[in-house]
Amino acid sequence: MIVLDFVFACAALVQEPAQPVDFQREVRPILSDKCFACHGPDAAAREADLRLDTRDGALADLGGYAAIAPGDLDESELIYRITTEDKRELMPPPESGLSLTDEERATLHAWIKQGAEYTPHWSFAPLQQSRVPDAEETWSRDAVDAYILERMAHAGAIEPSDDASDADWLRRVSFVLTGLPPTPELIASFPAELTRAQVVDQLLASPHFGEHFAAQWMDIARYADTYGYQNDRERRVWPYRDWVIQAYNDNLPYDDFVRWQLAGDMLDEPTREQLIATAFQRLHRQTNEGGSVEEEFRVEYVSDRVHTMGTAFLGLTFECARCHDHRYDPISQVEYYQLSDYFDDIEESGLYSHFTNATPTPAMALPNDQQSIAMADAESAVAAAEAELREALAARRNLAQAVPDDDVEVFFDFDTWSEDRVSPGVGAESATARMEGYFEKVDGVRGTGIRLNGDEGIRFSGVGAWRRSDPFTVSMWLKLDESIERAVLLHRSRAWHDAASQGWQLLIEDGRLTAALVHFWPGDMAMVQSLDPLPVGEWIEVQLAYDGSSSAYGMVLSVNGEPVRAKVGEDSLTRTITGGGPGDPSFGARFRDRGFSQGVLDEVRFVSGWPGPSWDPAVDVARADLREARRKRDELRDKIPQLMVMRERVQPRAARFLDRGLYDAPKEEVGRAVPAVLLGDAEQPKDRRELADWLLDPKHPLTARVEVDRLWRAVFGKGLMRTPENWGSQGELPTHPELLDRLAHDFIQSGWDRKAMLRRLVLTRTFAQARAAGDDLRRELDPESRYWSYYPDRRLTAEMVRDGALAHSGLLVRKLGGASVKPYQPAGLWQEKSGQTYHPSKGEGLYRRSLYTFWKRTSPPPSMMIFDAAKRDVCIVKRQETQTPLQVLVSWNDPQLVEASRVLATRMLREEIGLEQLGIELGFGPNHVLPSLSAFLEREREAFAADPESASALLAVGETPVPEVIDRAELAAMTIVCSTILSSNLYLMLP
Amino acid sequence: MIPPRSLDRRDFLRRTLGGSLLVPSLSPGMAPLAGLLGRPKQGLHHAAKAKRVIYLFQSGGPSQLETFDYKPLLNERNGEQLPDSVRRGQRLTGMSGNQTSLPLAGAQFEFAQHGESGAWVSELLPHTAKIVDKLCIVRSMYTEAINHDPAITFFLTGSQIAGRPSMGAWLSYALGSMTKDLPSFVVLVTQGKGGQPLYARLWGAGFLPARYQGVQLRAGTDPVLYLENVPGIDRERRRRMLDAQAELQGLQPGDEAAMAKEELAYRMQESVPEVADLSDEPEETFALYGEDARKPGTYAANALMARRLLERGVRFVQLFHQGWDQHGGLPGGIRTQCRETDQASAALVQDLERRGMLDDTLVVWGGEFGRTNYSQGKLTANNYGRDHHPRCFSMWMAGGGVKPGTIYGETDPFGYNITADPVHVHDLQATLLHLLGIDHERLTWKYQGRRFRLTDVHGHVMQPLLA
Repeated sequence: MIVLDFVFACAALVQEPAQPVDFQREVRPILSDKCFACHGPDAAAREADLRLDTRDGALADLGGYAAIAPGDLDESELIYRITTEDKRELMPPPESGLSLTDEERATLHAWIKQGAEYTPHWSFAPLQQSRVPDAEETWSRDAVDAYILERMAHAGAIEPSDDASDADWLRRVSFVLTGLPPTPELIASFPAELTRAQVVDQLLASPHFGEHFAAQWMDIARYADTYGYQNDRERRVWPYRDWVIQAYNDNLPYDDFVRWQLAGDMLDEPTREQLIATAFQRLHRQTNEGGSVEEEFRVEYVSDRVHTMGTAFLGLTFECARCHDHRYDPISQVEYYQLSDYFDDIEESGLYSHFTNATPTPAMALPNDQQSIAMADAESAVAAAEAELREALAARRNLAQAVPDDDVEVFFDFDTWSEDRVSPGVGAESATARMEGYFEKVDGVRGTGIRLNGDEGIRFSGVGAWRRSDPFTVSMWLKLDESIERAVLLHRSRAWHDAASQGWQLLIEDGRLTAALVHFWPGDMAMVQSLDPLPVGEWIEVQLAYDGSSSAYGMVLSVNGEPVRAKVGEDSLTRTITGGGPGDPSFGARFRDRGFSQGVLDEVRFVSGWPGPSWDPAVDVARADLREARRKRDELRDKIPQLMVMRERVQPRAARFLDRGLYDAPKEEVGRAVPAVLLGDAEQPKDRRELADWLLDPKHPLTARVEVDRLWRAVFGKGLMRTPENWGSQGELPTHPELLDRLAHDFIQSGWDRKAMLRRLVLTRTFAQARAAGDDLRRELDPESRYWSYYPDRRLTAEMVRDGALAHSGLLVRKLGGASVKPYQPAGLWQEKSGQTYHPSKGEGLYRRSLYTFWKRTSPPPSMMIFDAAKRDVCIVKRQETQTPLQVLVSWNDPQLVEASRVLATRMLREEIGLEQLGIELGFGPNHVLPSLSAFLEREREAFAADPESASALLAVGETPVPEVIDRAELAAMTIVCSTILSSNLYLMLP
Repeated sequence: MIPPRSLDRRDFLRRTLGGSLLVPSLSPGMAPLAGLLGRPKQGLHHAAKAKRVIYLFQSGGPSQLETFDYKPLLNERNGEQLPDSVRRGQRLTGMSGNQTSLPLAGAQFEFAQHGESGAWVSELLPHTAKIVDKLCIVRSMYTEAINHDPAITFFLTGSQIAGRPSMGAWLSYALGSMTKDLPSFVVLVTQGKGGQPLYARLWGAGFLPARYQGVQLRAGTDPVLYLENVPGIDRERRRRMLDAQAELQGLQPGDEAAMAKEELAYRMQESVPEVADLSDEPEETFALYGEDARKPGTYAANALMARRLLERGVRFVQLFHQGWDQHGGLPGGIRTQCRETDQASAALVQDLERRGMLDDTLVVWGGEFGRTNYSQGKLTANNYGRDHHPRCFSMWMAGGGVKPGTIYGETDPFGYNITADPVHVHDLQATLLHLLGIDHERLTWKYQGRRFRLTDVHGHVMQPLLA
């Protein structure tokens, strides 16, 4: 067998191809797919010190011989290795499962013979300018058509298809631009009153245009209404989705569209929209699974941002370079971490808060107009009260008989015990300290002190349930056995990571005293830390005094009565610190945190009220006013919804190389840089904003190509690039590279104008072509329409199937934006996976476009998934298109579609629309097949007349009421007919 | 443009499909025979020992220390601290990682040796204990993830990262279907359990074509989503609708395939409820599986259903039983779990054997990781909990080419580290594929330019486990 192969190979080799071999088109794909895994860019995986991805590598002296000797087959080891009969020497090695075909061998043979020239990978090279081919004027309407036609002419036997009918063109262009079928009004006025260009302008101006293109962007943005991991809770991110809709409808230029999403927060005085756009980078999955290692998941999120940026805007697979150098593309592992450095400088946690509903930081507030006004008023009230207090303090007289303010002080000395484990407070009778578990009574600073085991603490009651507007002071005596790395002292919070530390807390970290008021750790908190370690082996009194300002500068740490030198860790507190329960403070232990076991505690004091005496009633009044003003402001602010966005932290994190991609194997710092292979001579971007500039540099080889191809794919169903998920070495070549570059060039010239590009594409002759019939010769000559000799076969997307039916029936609620909705879904799907219950919407929520359907990542909407919607776990740029019987079952039995059929049938009967007219309204044109269903309709009418119960049962599907006046048998029969139509390929395939 | 035409549907199908109503490539989860798409070799890489798989996935991480890995030392040293020399600084989860005390916890259940193999099995699994000589028990499994979501995703897709195809999807892709009326890869979840969540991705197709994904059969009247006709449409009317659809679909490209999948959907409407209807099972079936098997949605009913699915040509059935995540209250919790699953798991093996199906059916039992030898939370005289432990745990396999009566692998006397014959998750996956006649290194799918495998770039076939 091998001998035979060899003979064939030799026979092939003898025939010199008449044409010069095209390295890009013919040779590189072979080398990449069959050789690069062991002889490519990844130095670690490289065998025999040979690399074939560069000419220098291929020609290198391997010790008296070389893999490739240009022009000399006998001297080229590669030729011997790919043709030898010796299995031990054959390349690729048989155990790799890879092999070369005879054609591939012949190609390599000819290429070496012709000099083994290399050219850089096409997609990393600058856009190539080409002359628009001269084309037959009568067919072409645009330069696009000229390129298409020339290629077909070059291939010989292939010719363009005839134009599709007006009706087919209209239905097609309407779905392509708005995701919806043409309205009856549009059908009636085209072509009699409107030209094609006018139709296109109408569609592009429709708000449904933005919805439809936003729906496609959701796959890329991995948009979902839940976090995604494990119990997969809801999060409120739909303002981002609405921004995307608006951006498309406003025709926001693509460069801004990208720049805002990548770096909107870093633009000068960013607008609300520019900030909302950055939510793009926070839509990755997030976990709240108990016990997860925080850093492990934080690193995961940063990586997701890198991968999404790579896939969405560059079409490259950066994820391959996370654990080792890329096997196929010139992207090293170091470059991966250099790139990730742009994305890891936000204050975020690897876990979202399980015990509170806090929005993970960084987050922005999204007030409505009313809230904005109220907040402005509240802020000025606070400012006024602050000024008043300053004046009162300036004018303060030391009145010996000062009226005490409403301070409450509670003191625990642990010297008296009401029960075995309960020590009452001094000063407030109801206040108690209850030992939760293990404790020891030992010598205290005065009387009894307490020693704990670090797992079980002391729970106080009746004190300490403070808001952030409440001034307070806490203090305690401690005697530390040793310097402590981490210990929870006094706090009011439910948990550490599992509640993002929401509450107030006093800890020891690195031997130092740390105090914080936290909404979400990190990113929304006020935190101070003493500069000097706490003394060990002696009794010390530690104290936190806080003035109710929500600021770290309002927190004072003292040891033994003297304020200590401290630094502000973070000063970003904006929201409530009271969530997560319980309302009571504890000492010495916290859920899944390290408690206090290395020392003794005594004399805990809680003081509600301003630190220090006022001495003057006027100061008391001013303090009370300020406190009240802050409380009102905080309550207002807490009600304003938030959205996860990007915001740079003050101190950049230095990205490190992670050995094998492992979060717990950090190595050297790598700095930040972009991959050298792309715009290698450009200056290194300093931050995310400059990274966006680099990406949008008109000379960037990939950005415009990738987007233009995405627009082409939206129009034609398939791209010029058939592997849009990979534009690297392992990707295919575009069907028309010159055309792609021409369009990319024009796109940049137009100011990245997407509507203009779409308008241009749908008005081409190429787009106007009919689908080829099943027996059309083109299907043999051009089976995947790579010559674009006919409009490719295209099924309606998951969204179009449902939205089209809703539109035809008139049920569709044409309202833009807002919170996600929950249409019909079989009962129990959430319950059986995660114990949550799906409550379907009532009323209009059942009939919104599918873009607005609530997306739960671990249990996505089933009928959409069955029709190949993307799961939205990670960025996806190309959906599958499959054919399964499960799709048939959805078409038949999804109540949404059955109800739509019934409501459509109702309209037909009311408006006396017959099958003939129905076909026209559905966009099938004047010459359609629906009248052939009349006998079927009659048969069903008779059957339902004989069985009224069946008719009633069918008509009861869906929430829309059935009008009383209509004959039930007739309506049921017409419903059956409509359902049959909406289940058929006539409806499901784009014409 | 659709030309007006009329065509009898069945005539059309006969003409275009050569008399067969079946288009293999259109079945749910049905692959065209391997090789037709240019995959390595013709279908299987070598002779298969198993044709079918039932994977009894025990979700949450069953404790090996209360089931198959007997550690009397833990009882002797109950309450003592986990020695550093045993832990060796290995990572713990955030749940017990900050506990100041890690007290060793002995199993509070009796163990005894069973069968000729002398396998130690706890009193919690009396039925399983009776069939140990049919089992291949692996006590030296280990994994890389320490939290549920990544761990279960890793086990069933070979990667902790979401988006890869599941094991069943790989098999459907590699081996195709043996039934024309049912999906090739079926998922059954015990109803009403709660506990650690499950995710659709665990039986998803990832980047493989969606037809290879698992189809979940649910307890109740609508076992496949949208399978049951809406009220007012009976079987005859559906037939008429289907025939009417032929009036609308004819010569357009794609119509042929559409009609074939419509016919299959129509057949599934009959074949699926038939599998789920247990009324034709004799009394002794319920004696074997337990009375629970009469109640749809129980583990026992699903085990029985799994056998019925296999009889009808389904290739891969994956059961999920949640609730094994005993961080606290372990003694009570695990007792319930075992009671719900022990009899039916053992019954399934016996049932397959007496029907002559065990020879070419592989049964797998296990969870995503094991549990710690120390108590999470307080250790008391009759209560304790165990945290996640990826470094060792137990599983068993039976039938389809594995060596019966095997006890493989050892852990140290503390039940913390593996001391002999470790089996990584990728090894198990490689072995499973091997038994089905597949070389795990050669079953690949090219996506984003890279050839992906179930076993990533790892995995070894564990020869000692093979018959």
